[in-house]
Amino acid sequence: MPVEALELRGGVSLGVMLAGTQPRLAVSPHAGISWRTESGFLFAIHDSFSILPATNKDGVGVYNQTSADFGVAWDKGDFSVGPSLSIYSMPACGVAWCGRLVGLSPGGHAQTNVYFAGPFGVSVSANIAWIGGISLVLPGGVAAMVVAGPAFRWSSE
Amino acid sequence: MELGVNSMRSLPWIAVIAISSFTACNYTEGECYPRGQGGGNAGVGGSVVVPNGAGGFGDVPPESQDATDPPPPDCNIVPQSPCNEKCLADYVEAAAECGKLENETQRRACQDVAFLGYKSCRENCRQKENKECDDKYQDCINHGPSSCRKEEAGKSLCNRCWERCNAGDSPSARCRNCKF
Repeated sequence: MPVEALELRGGVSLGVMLAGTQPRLAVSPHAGISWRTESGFLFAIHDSFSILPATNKDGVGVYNQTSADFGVAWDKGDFSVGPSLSIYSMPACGVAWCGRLVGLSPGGHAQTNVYFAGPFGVSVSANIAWIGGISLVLPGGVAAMVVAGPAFRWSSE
Repeated sequence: MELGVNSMRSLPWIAVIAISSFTACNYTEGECYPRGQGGGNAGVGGSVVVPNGAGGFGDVPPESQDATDPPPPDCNIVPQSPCNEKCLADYVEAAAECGKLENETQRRACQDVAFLGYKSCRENCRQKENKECDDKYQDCINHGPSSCRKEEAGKSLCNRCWERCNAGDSPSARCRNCKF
């Protein structure tokens, strides 16, 4: 069964990230490429680079998540989920301590895109990542992020 | 742009295996500070606690930055003795409770008390571990093979093993043979 279409997409989303005890604003430019079969099956690679504006002396944080997703697609949109890998350098607070965390985390990603004006639409994505390691600030736990914003796509039939 | 469905079907498994081969890892870059003191200029002139006590056996415990000779910051966990691990866990828990206090004066006083408790706990661990070494030394003298009591360069093997024990080093094969 051949691939019916290849699709490139991108956008900028806004949302909230929670790593530890303090939620933070996230500004997330993102891009992806997907392959769609005739039956509506979808395979996609997503990359989201989130900027976490400074709220204290620890400064700005960055959080990049790459995922390999599988899902379904229809004429005006798609939905996909899959495993992800995140790399980050961000300020965070645990139960007792705050500081700047640097690390690598496996996790999961879900995203839906709905296009209502030609190639333009809205993208909503949710990410979760397992945070852990030797940091005294967050030796274990999860980071969650939900963002949404405008998106566009370019398709090659 | 032909992509067979078989290769499409194998992609999920490739991705899952690739991702699951990673485990989370992180570390703290630079210093850390108690929650609630990070707004604005925390860490400058205040009683920011720098948890340096997560180091190995005999490391300097956490200390207030008001101290005249503050330790270098280290906010990452490295292996240490179970006794010291418990001290640190208790301290983190106590510091967390202190962080919930709204009043800054009360919060700092609470943190000072928690820190003193941590220092006391570490000292108890040190004394306990030293006593264990002393007991092993006596066992070495009383029940160890005669080779353990033979002096080499002015010290018996029992004595050298006792020094290793006090330094927190794991016993060598010879020391294990000498009841350490």
